Amino acid sequence: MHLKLYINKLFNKLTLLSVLLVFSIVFLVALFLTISSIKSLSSNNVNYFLYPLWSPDNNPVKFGISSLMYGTIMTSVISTTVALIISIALSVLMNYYLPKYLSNIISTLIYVMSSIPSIIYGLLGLLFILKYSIQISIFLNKYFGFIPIFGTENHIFGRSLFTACIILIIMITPIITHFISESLFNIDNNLIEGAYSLGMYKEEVIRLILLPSVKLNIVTGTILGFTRAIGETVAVSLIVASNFSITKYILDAKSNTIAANIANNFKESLTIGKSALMSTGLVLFIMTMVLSIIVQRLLHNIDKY
Amino acid sequence: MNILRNSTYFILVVTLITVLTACGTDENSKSSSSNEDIKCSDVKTSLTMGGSSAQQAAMTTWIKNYQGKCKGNNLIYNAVGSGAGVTQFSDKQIALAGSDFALSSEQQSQANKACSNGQAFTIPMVSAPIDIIYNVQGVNNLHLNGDLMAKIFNGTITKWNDNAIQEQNKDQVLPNLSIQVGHRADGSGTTYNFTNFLHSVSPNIWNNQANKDWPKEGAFSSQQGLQHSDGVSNFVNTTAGSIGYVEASYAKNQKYSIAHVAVTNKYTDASENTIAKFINQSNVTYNANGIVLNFKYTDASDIYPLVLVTYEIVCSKNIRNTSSVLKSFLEYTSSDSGQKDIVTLSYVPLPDAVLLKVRDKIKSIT
Repeated sequence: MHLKLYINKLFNKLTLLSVLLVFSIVFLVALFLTISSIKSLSSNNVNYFLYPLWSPDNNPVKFGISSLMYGTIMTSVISTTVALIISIALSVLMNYYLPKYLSNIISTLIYVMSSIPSIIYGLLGLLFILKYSIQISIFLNKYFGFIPIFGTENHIFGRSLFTACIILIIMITPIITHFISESLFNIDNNLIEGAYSLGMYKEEVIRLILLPSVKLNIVTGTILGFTRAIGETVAVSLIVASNFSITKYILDAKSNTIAANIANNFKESLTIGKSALMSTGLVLFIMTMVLSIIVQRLLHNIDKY
Repeated sequence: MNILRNSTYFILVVTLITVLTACGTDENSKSSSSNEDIKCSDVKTSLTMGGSSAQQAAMTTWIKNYQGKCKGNNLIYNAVGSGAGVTQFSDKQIALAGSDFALSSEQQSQANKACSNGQAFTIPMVSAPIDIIYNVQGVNNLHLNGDLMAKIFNGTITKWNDNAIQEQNKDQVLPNLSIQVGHRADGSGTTYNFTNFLHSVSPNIWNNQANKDWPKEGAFSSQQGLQHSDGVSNFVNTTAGSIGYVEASYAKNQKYSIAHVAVTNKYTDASENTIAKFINQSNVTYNANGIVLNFKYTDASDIYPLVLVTYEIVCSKNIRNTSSVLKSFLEYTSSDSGQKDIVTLSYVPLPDAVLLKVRDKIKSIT
């Protein structure tokens, strides 16, 4: 009895320690990023949030994050939205429409896809997808150019936000699908049978009963996908045009993201340049943190009803 | 669940087989040195070096040849980039930093501190031509002078059949195709030397000073930045209407063409002679901080003006017991055979006048 009490106490201490560890890591990351970025931010001569260009190592020091932030938000929001739609469709298909053996194979493939390192996706994009993305872009621009986002300024396509989105969609769809399909698989059979016995059609059961019952998992999967998209570095840095412009035309070869910019410039940056890159890292950190806090609030509210 | 497990194994095995067969035969390590010029040091030690990626291929060959003769030494060169190389040198992590630029005065004083009682100095070691590469169907004999390059690369000229290009290429049929400029997205010595050329030759058209970073404002913001030289090379290789600049070793065995270059109108191609001629007419600064070349872009015939020279930064006095190996290694790299060993990699030997001074400087290492 005494020993059991002791173990229990030890367990409590351990859990407390790991909680502290998590807190201190988050705190230290924030502290480290802030301290590293002070040097560049204090010597910056332009508005950090409005200036679109990047030349921290030159005199006068000028760098801003607006174009990078624009590219980051555009690519991650678009790709997460599309990936979410595909994922829901795919997991419903796998769980309720396809024969068992087929859906097993697909789910294995998805598992494998989600564990492939991102450099592979980057190379796939660079050597394979880019070619076809240019052709798709030309097609979209020709026939759907009247839709504002498919317009173009100079008819130069390829290394665009559009292509970056395609890569990101391929990368994050498996993650979200995995989450949703797993939770659909674990739904209590009684729920489904009950719904059928009320005379519902299959489509109604899925839309009105099953999907709402796993909305929490859908949201969690989406956040995971989104954070991967927002922070994806290697794959995107191989694809983007690395120029610093804000364009409403997603097909034009004008694209860059915070993470890709860090990957491109870190090696050859000097003191101020490195510190400036740290400051963009800080912005990325704050963005993901604010996002996850908002989503947790939302989840809290969903749970109430 | 069983099917799931089985298919997992299946995919794992297939992947493994693919990977294993993919990296089967890659063992043709031949040492191609006439290695009389390698004089081994008595001390056996390991030597960590790092920096510029422009000299990585040269360093790899030199290290292979040197270690082939002087067994027991372990030399490593990490291509971490010029900036990182200099930082690591100042932090006493490496014995030699490869850099595409001479040190600034602030960097010099920091580097000196890493050399305890001696001081850090810079010597040129590797030179290579920069090629202007372009991919325009039906055009393979393009002539570009300084003004034309400045206008193309700053976005003033947007079409290949522009009158200004046609004027220098009367015999070529130029298509009505948009020009797509590809440049380095990362800071690089190639960009520095190319923009130095553009600014020196046509300062009115190319207003930006020489810089390791490509300019970004205005028309530059619709140009495409690629990672590393192979990124630019791959971009030009796959994009119709594209133009870019790369260090010559990356322009080999590709589908695109290389432009003939002139300051104004005396067109030449890169060769050992035209580059030696160009380097020989530069101003050489020679002092305690080392040897630095300042290029002069005059319009003489038979000079190839697009040249990249990269430097080594070392300590004048012994640090961490490395100097004798370092000295014997650098004596080899600056020797005639050392410089000749890297010619097959598209580098060119430094001219004799410069090499003599470099060897003097290396001799002074104690």
